[in-house]
Amino acid sequence: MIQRRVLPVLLSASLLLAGCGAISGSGTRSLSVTGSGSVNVAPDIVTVSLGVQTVGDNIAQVVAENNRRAEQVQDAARAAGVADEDIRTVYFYVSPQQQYDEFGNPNGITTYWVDNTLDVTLRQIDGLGALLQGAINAGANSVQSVSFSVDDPSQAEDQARQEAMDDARGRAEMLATAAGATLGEPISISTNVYLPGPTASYRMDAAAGVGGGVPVTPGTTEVQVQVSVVYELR
Amino acid sequence: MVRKVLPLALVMAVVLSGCSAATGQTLSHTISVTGTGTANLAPDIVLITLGVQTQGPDIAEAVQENNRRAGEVMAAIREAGVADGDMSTANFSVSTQQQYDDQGNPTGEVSYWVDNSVNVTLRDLGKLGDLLQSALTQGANSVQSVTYSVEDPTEALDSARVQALEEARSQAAQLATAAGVELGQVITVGEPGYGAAPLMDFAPAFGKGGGGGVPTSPGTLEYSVQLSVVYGIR
Repeated sequence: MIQRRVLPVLLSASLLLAGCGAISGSGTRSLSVTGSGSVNVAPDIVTVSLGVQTVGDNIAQVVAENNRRAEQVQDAARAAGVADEDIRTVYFYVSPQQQYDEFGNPNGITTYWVDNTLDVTLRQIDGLGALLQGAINAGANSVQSVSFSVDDPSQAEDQARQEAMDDARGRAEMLATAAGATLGEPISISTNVYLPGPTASYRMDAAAGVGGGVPVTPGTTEVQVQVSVVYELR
Repeated sequence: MVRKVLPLALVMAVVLSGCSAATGQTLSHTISVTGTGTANLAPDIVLITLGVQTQGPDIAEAVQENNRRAGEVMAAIREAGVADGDMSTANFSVSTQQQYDDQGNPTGEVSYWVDNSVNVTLRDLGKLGDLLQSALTQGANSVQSVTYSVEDPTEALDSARVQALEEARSQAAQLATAAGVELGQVITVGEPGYGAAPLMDFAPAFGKGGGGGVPTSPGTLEYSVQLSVVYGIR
């Protein structure tokens, strides 16, 4: 109990201190700006959910049919260049569905819905069209969440972070001059990284379509970094 | 309740008094204002999401039909002058949908829903109407968004910031005069809230729409920035 009460008090106290420190310091004048940097990276991996959904009133048959097709879909994914460790079952379920008569009463008949879904990651993205078509041919009847991404965005993040700092500095110098002051040292810096999916990024520079089968094209992923910087004013 | 609130109030009072003691006289006489600057920009890109959706009881046929039309739509988009790099797959999905009878019971039959959608960046705005028309003619049957945008508003926004600072200064000078004091130097400058957000302005800036086909018009986009400025009083 005591800890619960003390924590908010300490928090508000530190907020107040921080708040007044930012404004005053020892009479420090300040300028706060945000800067942003973005780097477009060609995606090098693509993930997709591949599922087999079967339905019927004989549970054993429905499951057996699902198992057979799910096995074929896994084989098709491997054949399209997906490594074993990049194939992961994300759900398997069997769902009994009661049937109802015209009065809304259960009529004693039940059907079964069986779903076996995999998440697969393909690291040679020019094989995506063939992977999708191969999986469907092999019995997948649920394909969801095609998502392109960058396996290791750290280098792009470094570059975007540098751009964001340069952007912030330029803006700060401009505003300081306009305010009739001289820009001093940074007092505080904070940062955020955004890795939007390709649907959020409309800048693309990848080459034409991706292999045979389903027509798809990867575009690029935009790595964005934002910085907030408080500079001293002199 | 009282027991909990009292210590908090005490702590806050102590912190507040500590704070004002630390600030000394520099902050005791200030004027705080918020200036606004705007930039009206003509869009230079338009972002389009469109796609092909097919359905049917035979998954192979539904996918094949979708592939054929999606391939033709992508070719039509390229023919309208869109670079390969400005088009990326937004979605590819196959969904299995159970059929239901009058009583709401699954009939055991399923149909398949296939969607292949692309994001397109069009840089020649005059071709928008033709692009949409030609995509629809080639088999697109879903247009999910058409959004005009400015690819890089940074420079215009920085001019708007200088404008905001000037407006803030003019407000502060008026307030100082009205209060019979002399305006001092800038103590803090910062952006309130989350920076620039475009405000849509649907008044068309151009007489003509986007060429033939579907009638469209880009209008102008109004961006607004605010700066909060604290001035000292001499």
